[in-house]
Order: sequence, then C-alpha cells, then structure tokens
Amino acid sequence: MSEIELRGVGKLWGDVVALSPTNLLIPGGSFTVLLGPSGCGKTTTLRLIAGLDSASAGQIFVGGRDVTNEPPSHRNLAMVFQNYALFPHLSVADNIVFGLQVRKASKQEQSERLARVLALLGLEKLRDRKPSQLSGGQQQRVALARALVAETKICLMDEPLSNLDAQLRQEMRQELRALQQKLGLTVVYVTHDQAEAMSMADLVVLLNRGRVEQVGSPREIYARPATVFAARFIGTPPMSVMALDGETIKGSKFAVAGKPSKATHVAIRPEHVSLDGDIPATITASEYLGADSLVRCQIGSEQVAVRITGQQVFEPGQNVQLAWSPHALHYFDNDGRRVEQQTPT
Amino acid sequence: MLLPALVLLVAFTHYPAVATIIDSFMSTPKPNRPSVFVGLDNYASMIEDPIFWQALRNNLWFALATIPLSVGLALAMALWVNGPMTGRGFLRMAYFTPTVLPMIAVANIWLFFYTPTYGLLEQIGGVFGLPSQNWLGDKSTALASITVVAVWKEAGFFMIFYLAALQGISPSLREAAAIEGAGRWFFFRRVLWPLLMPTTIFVLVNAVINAFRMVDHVVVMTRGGPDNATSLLLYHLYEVGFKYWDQGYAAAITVVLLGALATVALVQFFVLDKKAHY
Ligand SMILES: Nc1ncnc2c1ncn2[C@@H]1O[C@H](COP(=O)(O)OP(=O)(O)OP(=O)(O)O)[C@@H](O)[C@H]1O
Ligand SMILES: [Mg+2]
Repeated sequence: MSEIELRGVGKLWGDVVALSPTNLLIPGGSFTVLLGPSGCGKTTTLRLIAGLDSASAGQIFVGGRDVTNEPPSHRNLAMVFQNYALFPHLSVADNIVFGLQVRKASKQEQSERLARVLALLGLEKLRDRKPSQLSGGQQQRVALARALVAETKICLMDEPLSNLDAQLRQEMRQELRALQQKLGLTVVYVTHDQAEAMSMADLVVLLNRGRVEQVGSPREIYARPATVFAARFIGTPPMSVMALDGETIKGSKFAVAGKPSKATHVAIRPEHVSLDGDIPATITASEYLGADSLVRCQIGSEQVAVRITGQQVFEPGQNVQLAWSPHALHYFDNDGRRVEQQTPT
Repeated sequence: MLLPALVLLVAFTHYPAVATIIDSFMSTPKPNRPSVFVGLDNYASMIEDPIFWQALRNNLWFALATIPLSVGLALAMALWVNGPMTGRGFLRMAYFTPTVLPMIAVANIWLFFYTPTYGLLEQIGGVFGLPSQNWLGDKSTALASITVVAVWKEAGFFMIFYLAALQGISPSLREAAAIEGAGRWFFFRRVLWPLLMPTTIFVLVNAVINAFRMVDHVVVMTRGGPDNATSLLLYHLYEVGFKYWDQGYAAAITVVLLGALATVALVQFFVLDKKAHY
C-alpha cells in the first residue's frame, strides 16, 4: 500500500510556523499536487514526508506504517529535487544506479533495471554523459530515472519543472502524468503554478501560510472554492471577490438577490459575467488577450472582471450593464469561509 | 603591452633562477680571488658533505610525516566543522588561528610547550608521573617535535580550502544520497572525495612545497640541532650560504632543491590531474 497520511503534523522553525498542525490523506496511486503561493509550506510538507526534516508535532504514516521517527531511507519512497541534485562527477548511468549500489544490488540486477528506466525515459543515448553535458530537460529526466529505478511506489517531486522553458514544461507535464498512470505511482508534486496543478492533479491540496485551505479535485476546487483565498488564487484570472454592505454590493445600490444571511462577500468568475444585463457598472481597464478580452469594471467601490469573446473595443470610463446568473455566485462569510446558497428559487 | 609584466617576471623570478644556476658552477668570490668557473666542483662537494645527506634524509622524513598528516587532519576537521552545529563560526576561527599567527610567534608558543622542566608538556607529564623529557634537546624526539608543530600549523591552513570546497557542494546531494540510504562512508567515498579531488591536488602541491621550504621553525626552535638532527635542506642551505658564506655551494644546493620541487609538482599535476573531476 502506498497511501500517505499526516495526523496533526506541524513544523516550526524557531518562532516561524512553517506548517500548522495538519491532517491530510493522500490516496495510494494518486497524483496529488501541493499548491500555494511562495512560502506557504509546500516544500516543508514534502520534506516532512520524505523525512529530510523532522516534524515538530504529529505523526506521519506511509502505507499504514508510522514512519515519524524513521530516517528517509526507511520510508520506501523516492524524491526528485528541484535542482535535480545529480552527482556532477558521475555519468548518467552511475547517477541512476547510485541507490542500487548503496543497497548492494547484484551487477546483473543493476544493469537490467538501468536498461529498463533508460528505455522508459528515452535516455539510452545519454548514458555515458556527465550531468553538465545535458540540457535542463534531459537532467530532469535523469533525476526522474534515478527516482524510478528504485521501484518504490511513492515519488515526491519538488517543483521539478520550474527550471524548464514553457514549451518543454508542457511536454514534461504530459509525460510525467502518463508515466505516473502507467506505473501506478503515488506522486506528491509541489508547484506554485496553478495551471500545472489543474492539468496534472487527481487531488489538489491548496496551502496558504502553513495551513490547508482546501483539498479536492481540480474541478471541485475550481467550481466550489472553500475559502476566499481559494477563490482569489484559482483561475487565470481568478474570481472577482466583492465586499457586501448588507444586501447591496459595497458602494452601490445593486442588491444581490438570494444572498445567504451570513455572507459578507460575493464572488464570480469572469467567464460567468456578460455585458447584456441590468447591473450598472463602469469600465476601468480592458486587456486584449487574443481569443478574448478581459474587461475590468467597477460596481460601487468593488472591482469585477468580465471575460468577453469577440473583438469589441472598450474605453475606460464607458458605462455598461452587466449580467450574471444567481447560480454562478459564490458567497463567503466574515472568516472567509464558503457559505452555501439557499436553494435557488 | 606585455612588456611591463615581462620585465617584472624576468627581474624577480627568471633572472635570480638563472643567476643561481650559473653561480652553482662558479667558485665563491673572495676579496683577493674573484669567482672563477669550477664546473661541477660545487656538486661534488655536496655529494661528499655528510650534513647535506643528513638534512636531505631529515627533510624526507619530515615531508613523509607532515604531508599526509596535515592533509588528512585538514580534511577530517573540515568535514567535522562543515556540518550544522552551534558555535561553528568560533570553531572555524579557532582552527584558522595557527595560520594568521606569525610563524615566529607560533614557534615561540611551542617552544614554551616543549621547554624542559617548566614547559607545558613537562608539567602535564609530571602530573601523570611521566619521566622528564627534553623534547627539542633529544636527538630521537627533536625532529618529531618539529613535525608536530608543522602539522598543527598546516592543517588549519589546508582546512580552510577544504571547507570552502565543501560549502560549494549542494546540500541536496547529501539529501538525495540519504533518501537512497547511503551511509556517511559511502557518501564520502562516492561523492565527497571525488568532488574534493581538485582541492586535494592543490593542497598536496602546497604541502609538498611547504615541507621543503620549512626553515623558520627550525631557526627559532632548534637551529638544526642537536647534532644536525633537525637540519632540513633549506636550513642547511641558509647555514652554508650565510654562516659559512660559501655561495657557490649554496647555489648548487638551491638548484637541487628547486629541481626536486619542480619534478614533484609536475608529477602531481599530470598524474593526479587526470583523476580529478572539475
Ligand atoms: N530552514 C529553515 N529555517 C527557517 N525557516 C524556514 C526554513 N525553511 C523554510 N522556512 C520557512 O518556512 C516557511 C515555509 O517555507 P517552504 O520552503 O515550505 O515554502 P514553499 O511553499 O516551498 O515556498 P516556495 O514556493 O517559495 O518554495 C517560510 O516562511 C520559510 O521562510
Ligand atoms: Mg519550495
């Protein structure tokens, strides 16, 4: 079994809370992404799972076994480091079999397994090169091969694609995902790039300031953000979150129909707003994006973004009438937590 | 454009070297007898000089002991100090102190350690009821005592180079090895040692040169005695050249010394360099 469970796991660096006590279940065989802004504790969480740092509180289980006090090598997992951590003086082949040599695998087993991962990742031609003679993408593949050759069921990755250019990153995302599914791996993948998270993950763990904001599939998180932070973080551009003043949007006379009583904020995705309605707004800026445009409008004192297809041109200061469906609205209370709508009539 | 550099190089390195080689074939000038060409006479008297052979033997033993000991100690200390621990800065400075202290001061401190009756070693030995020992005055211990001082001084200096090299090695290499379950020894043998190879070569070349350049401790601590037991090549050279004022012979010793050093350096450079990863 290869599921990972954190029970009340926290980490302090002196007075800094890198991770507040957290419960988390990462199912076996899943591609789980730890997502969040810089400094939110993603790397910390991953290193705690790997055993490279020790937890200040709580217990860590891997495959149902308590590994809280076990060294990294007893946790039966592999890791791909952000900088790849390849041994610069060893050839690609020697880098890959390093771990097998540590475990004193027979020469024959070493060469068999080496041949297998070299073929899997298309590295046969590069086997005698030094890491400095490889491109970033090739190095990344070698790092991956070194992790895979151990044939552990769990693979941890810390922003493995962040050093690659956009094109290569796109390719590697698909390759990684395909590989994970083919081998049935449990992958825990750290990134601050939400597009990466959305396109690869079975499960997204959204972190903010050392806290888990939401755990869910990319669709769930996109469709039903659990907190204001999630609403403001997910999506390019993300939801517009507008403060409410009683029934109306702050600074305007527009009353939001069907607002739950506890809600203090209302939010909506740009693609769910259109320009053919009766909500008075003023355009403040517009951005041409090619296939569509992003128009920023003001209602009262609050900002709302609108995504429009087509080639219409808008001037700042122009008055428009916005429209949205009440179903597309999301509500949040004063603590930033989601408030469900009453059953719409 | 090259001229100024060339002039300096010739004036300060090439000219003295060439002049020395020429001098080694000439007799020493005297007030009533100018220097004349004597061929290999100076080299012949070197071969017949028992003190030269003793100094050479002493120096070889001295080199054989100081080089591996100081380099090994430097590496061990650097590995130890490199790990995360409290008071690291203080420790590093403590090791580096021997290097910033002037040689003469160092020698004087150790002179105090070794002094018979009052010295630190004597006093400590006395507590444990050990017999009194004149470390620097006894033919059987004098060279070893000087060797210890040299090792102590060199190790601190070489450690700095190892430490700098270790700091340049990404900590994630150690972590990657830790996940694979590599022990300290395996990691050292397969990763650290090869990555430190360029530093080791550099340090070794320096250690060899220093071993054959050693003179100041000898001057301060023993003056080559007792009975030439601590006379090293450079000290012998100094005595011949400036005490007996036999410059022709001194030039011949210099040529031999330089030749030996150049050979060692070249061998190290070409043999070890092939094994090093950069
Ligand atoms: N070794 C350390 N000593 C002290 N504080 C640390 C240490 N490592 C991390 N922190 C702190 O813990 C917090 C979380 O850091 P972490 O590295 O987990 O962030 P991250 O989510 O990986 O960010 P990034 O996307 O920038 O890599 C940060 O505030 C950071 O300053
Ligand atoms: Mg990080």
